[in-house]
Amino acid sequence: MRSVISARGVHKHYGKKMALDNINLQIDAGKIVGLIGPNGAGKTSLLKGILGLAPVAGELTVLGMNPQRERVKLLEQVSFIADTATLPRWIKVRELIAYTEAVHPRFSRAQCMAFLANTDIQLNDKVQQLSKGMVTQLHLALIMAIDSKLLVLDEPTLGLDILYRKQFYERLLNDYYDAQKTILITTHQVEEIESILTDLIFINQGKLVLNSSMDEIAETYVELQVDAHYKEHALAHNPIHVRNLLGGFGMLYEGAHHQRDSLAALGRLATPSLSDLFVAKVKPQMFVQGDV
Amino acid sequence: MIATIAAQMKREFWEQRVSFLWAPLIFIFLVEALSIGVMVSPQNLHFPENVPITLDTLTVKSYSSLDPATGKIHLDFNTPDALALIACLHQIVAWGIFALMFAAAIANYVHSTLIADRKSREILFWRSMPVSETTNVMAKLLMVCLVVPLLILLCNLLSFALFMITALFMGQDFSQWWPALKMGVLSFKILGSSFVVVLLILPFICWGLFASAFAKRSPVTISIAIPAGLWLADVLLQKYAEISLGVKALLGGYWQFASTSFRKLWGSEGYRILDINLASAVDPKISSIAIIISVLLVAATIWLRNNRYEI
Repeated sequence: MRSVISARGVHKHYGKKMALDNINLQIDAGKIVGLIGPNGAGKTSLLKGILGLAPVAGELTVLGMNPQRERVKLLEQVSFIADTATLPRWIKVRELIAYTEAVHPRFSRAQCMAFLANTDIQLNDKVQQLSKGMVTQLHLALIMAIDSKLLVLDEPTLGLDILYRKQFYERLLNDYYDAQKTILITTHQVEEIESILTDLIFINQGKLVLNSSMDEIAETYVELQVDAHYKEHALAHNPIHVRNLLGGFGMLYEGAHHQRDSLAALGRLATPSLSDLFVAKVKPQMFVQGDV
Repeated sequence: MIATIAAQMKREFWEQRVSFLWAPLIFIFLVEALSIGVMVSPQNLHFPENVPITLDTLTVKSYSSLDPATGKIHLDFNTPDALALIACLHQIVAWGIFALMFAAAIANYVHSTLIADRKSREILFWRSMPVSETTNVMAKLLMVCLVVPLLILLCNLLSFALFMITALFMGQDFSQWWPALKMGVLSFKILGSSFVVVLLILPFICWGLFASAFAKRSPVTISIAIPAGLWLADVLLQKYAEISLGVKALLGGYWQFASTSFRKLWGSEGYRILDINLASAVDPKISSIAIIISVLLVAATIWLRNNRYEI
């Protein structure tokens, strides 16, 4: 399968600070990839490199193109939503649609109008008259009306209430996504995209700490919920992370395929949530018996 | 490509609708009010007695009577061709007013247009569209160099039309009104002058765009401070160290060239109005240098937009 994004040895620094440190990754077509990381981890730097908004060193191709040198051609096939504040506030909805139609060869006005028909947005409204949620709906309608191969979403639901956030992802999946499209999402609200992701990337301090499909994650990582009596036995299996639960502990294990049976005898096994996995990978704890 | 530039220019017009639409409309009505004021209470226009006014198709030998008591000329609206002369003067004065208005609008526009989107972060939306920064900058330049002169023409024609309608309502004889209406072609001649003026100020327009792309906070400060600083340094170096940076000479020479060209545009002999050959109005050698400097500034602006600031 041809990769949509291919990065080898990608790095970038701002002065002495290393924003991206030897990033190697490959994202294939048809995937929905979550790029998760704490603040300052390098998510936005990586996205900027992918979109040609900032130069990066190393080999980076997107849809077979160099994002820096072929940015305009690339953007005919890549759509991008930053956060909700980027639509020009002075522009009217119909002007925005007319502009996008004129400059984007893959934009469909009819589709955009169909998406907007399900909202309260009027064509003569200015962006500044719209609420935050409506601005996101408008931006999403514009983007979904573009037949692009790659959609990059950088914190697209920041500041939105839960109704708009849920609507956003529902529309994205139901009305936009198909096997030919690839979506790359960064967000802090890990739990709300957990169910839609096919692949996951964790980034911390400019380095990739996890790059895996959701299926592999389910096979590789397991969380054991154990009460205090079996704590020492559980610790003997070298968890990568331990957290306190009411009356017990949650211990996360990596590469625990061969240990499942023995772990199951100690407590309840479950696939860890992305947020717990994220904490475990970003702040791993090496425990020995007696530490906790 | 042309469709993209056209879309970009439409975007500029929508964004600057206050400067490019509402302000001109207001000024059209102000000019109309001024015209009505002149026609309702005839003003004393201070022309020397019996000076021949030569236009393309009209020579007005004598259009006024001298008031011996005041020594002033009274313009007689009922004198044959007087309305035609006033129609010409109306277009010239209106052009001057609109040109000044748009000059202020352009100065504000070129200094703000390439920083405003960075400050508001809407650049993230514009950069998500498949439009190059070259197209973006060229569209802005075309707005100033092409659209603004055409807008001035349109404003002139609209205000002239209002003036002629008003004259008709005020009871002007049709035999005088019709020749006056034909003077409306003057606005198209003035259009040519508008383009010549744009050529003369092109380096400053491009400098403003460059400052707008370069600045982190205040493009106007950079736009004024850098040439002023260089000029001052040149003056001081010449005075105390007898070293010339050439800045003072360059700016002074360009000022001389521009003012000479303006005088040529508006006629340097008496009241020969617009009796010019546009090609001779500007020095080709100096114009070429001005164009080269402008091209370099535009290239630097485009480079800055692509490389200087990450967003």
